[in-house]
Amino acid sequence: MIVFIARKVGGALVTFAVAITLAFLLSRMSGDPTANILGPFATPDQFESLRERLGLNDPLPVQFLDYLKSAFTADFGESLQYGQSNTQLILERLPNTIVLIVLAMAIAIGIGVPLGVVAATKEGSAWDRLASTVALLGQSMPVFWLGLMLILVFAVNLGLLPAGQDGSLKHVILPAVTLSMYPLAQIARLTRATMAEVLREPYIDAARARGLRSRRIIGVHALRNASMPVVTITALQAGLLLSGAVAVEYVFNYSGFGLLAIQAVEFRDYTLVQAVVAFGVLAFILLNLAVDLLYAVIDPRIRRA
Amino acid sequence: MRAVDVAIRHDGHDAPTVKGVSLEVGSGEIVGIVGESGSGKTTLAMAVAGLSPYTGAAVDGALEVVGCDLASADRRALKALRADVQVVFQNPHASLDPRQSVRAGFRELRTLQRERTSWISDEELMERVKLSPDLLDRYPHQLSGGQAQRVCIARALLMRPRLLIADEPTSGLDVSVQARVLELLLDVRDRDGIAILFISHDLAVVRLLCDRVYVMRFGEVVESGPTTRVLTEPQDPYTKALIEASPGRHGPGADRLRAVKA
Repeated sequence: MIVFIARKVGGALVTFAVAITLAFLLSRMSGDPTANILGPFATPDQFESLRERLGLNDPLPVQFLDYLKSAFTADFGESLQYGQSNTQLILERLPNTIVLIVLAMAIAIGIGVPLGVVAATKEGSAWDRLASTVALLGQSMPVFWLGLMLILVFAVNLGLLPAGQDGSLKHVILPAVTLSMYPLAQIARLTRATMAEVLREPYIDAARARGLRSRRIIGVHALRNASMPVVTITALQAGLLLSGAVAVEYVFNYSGFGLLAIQAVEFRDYTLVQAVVAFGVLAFILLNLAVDLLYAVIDPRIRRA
Repeated sequence: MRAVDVAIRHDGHDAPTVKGVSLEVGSGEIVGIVGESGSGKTTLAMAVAGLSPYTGAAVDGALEVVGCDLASADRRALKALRADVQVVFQNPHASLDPRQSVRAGFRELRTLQRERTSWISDEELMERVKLSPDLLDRYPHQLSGGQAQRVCIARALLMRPRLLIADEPTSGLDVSVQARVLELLLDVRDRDGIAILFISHDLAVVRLLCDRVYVMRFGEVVESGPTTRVLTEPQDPYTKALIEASPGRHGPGADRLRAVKA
């Protein structure tokens, strides 16, 4: 188990290093941020002194080392755009995004898993067709379009929920529903497929022959054995939701991590982009680590590996 | 158990898998069903175990198992039947839930039938099937094929059944392990008086274990009678062909098995 954890953590560190290196290089390639800060009427001297002050005239390796130092001390300096500490900016916005993702994931699991289970136990029934339809729609609808449609129906026409901004639970509902559609579809589809497969296993027949109730057979024996791929996809989706949140937050003008990321990129706010990427990657990696450990809890066969 | 003129049809198929089959298993008797793959042996066994609804098969004819008429049985009667009739399947690993330890498997049955299963402790039960109680906390993947099959038999015994259906219980095992499992089945009959319906394509095994035998082909019984009679003086040409083709007839496996019975 200790070797297992050590190997996973080692892999995670490599991933982190590669990701932050890419974030550094890509932001340097995107152009000069000083133009955005000083505006169109600044003199060449002003540009030059600002570049000097921000350390942009240093050779790239020096800049990179500075960034590495900041990444490992979790002090990412000041935002070029807001003049505030980057870490603080992110920590302010992060809770909004976490609420959004947790709610979206809860909707996706709460509806996706039962839908998949029912579809698998009643293959070919109306429920099964409903599940397939939901899965197809959920996977093929673009997030921004779905978000706009929901705003149109629930905010504009029915006036039930606010169209944007943040602040209360009411404000999170529409973005969360929008964000949940894709993982919901994935989870429903995968649950159905793995459940249908597990239900054909001999130990399910064996459990029936022993006289166990259907509910126990489906709920305990089948679902537990079908849960591995479902847990995987759920966790992977939770990571992907971080990127999904960027689009959703933009559509609903929801002030979270994703919106901050867009603003940082638009402004060429190097330091903020780098900080955002480092945080995002870290979150994704921690999620994946959690999944790996969860596997070992669910499946006794993995503990030895 | 008694079956009279039973026909079994699968969903979406016109031709019945089993047709016009009658068979009987008396208490404490070991009865074999032999036939090649696709002859309807397993379909028939699943019907006797009351599992047809789950395999998408429809049963016609009278099927009476331990005093319970399957066609008219309600849920309560079926629950009792599921305890009176236990099944041991062909692939022991596949018929155990991979996430359930041996002990948890026993516990599940004990909650299901509290009184019926109180006659023996987990440790005694393990010893009864000649397994070390140390294996109680193992998961199926940590057991060998033979051990896993013993666990399956132990689970069946725990319910004190009157009929045990063994569907090719040894065909996935090594010959030496096969012999031990067959020995255990004989012992189950002798000590607990449990009747066994033994399904196999291996004539050498059937010869050793079964009192009577039914030979099936294309869903019909072509010959039946006491095992020694059927296997030494076969009347039906198919039985003759089956005996001729039997690979275990003179092989080391057969000798080994004969030694077990002696």
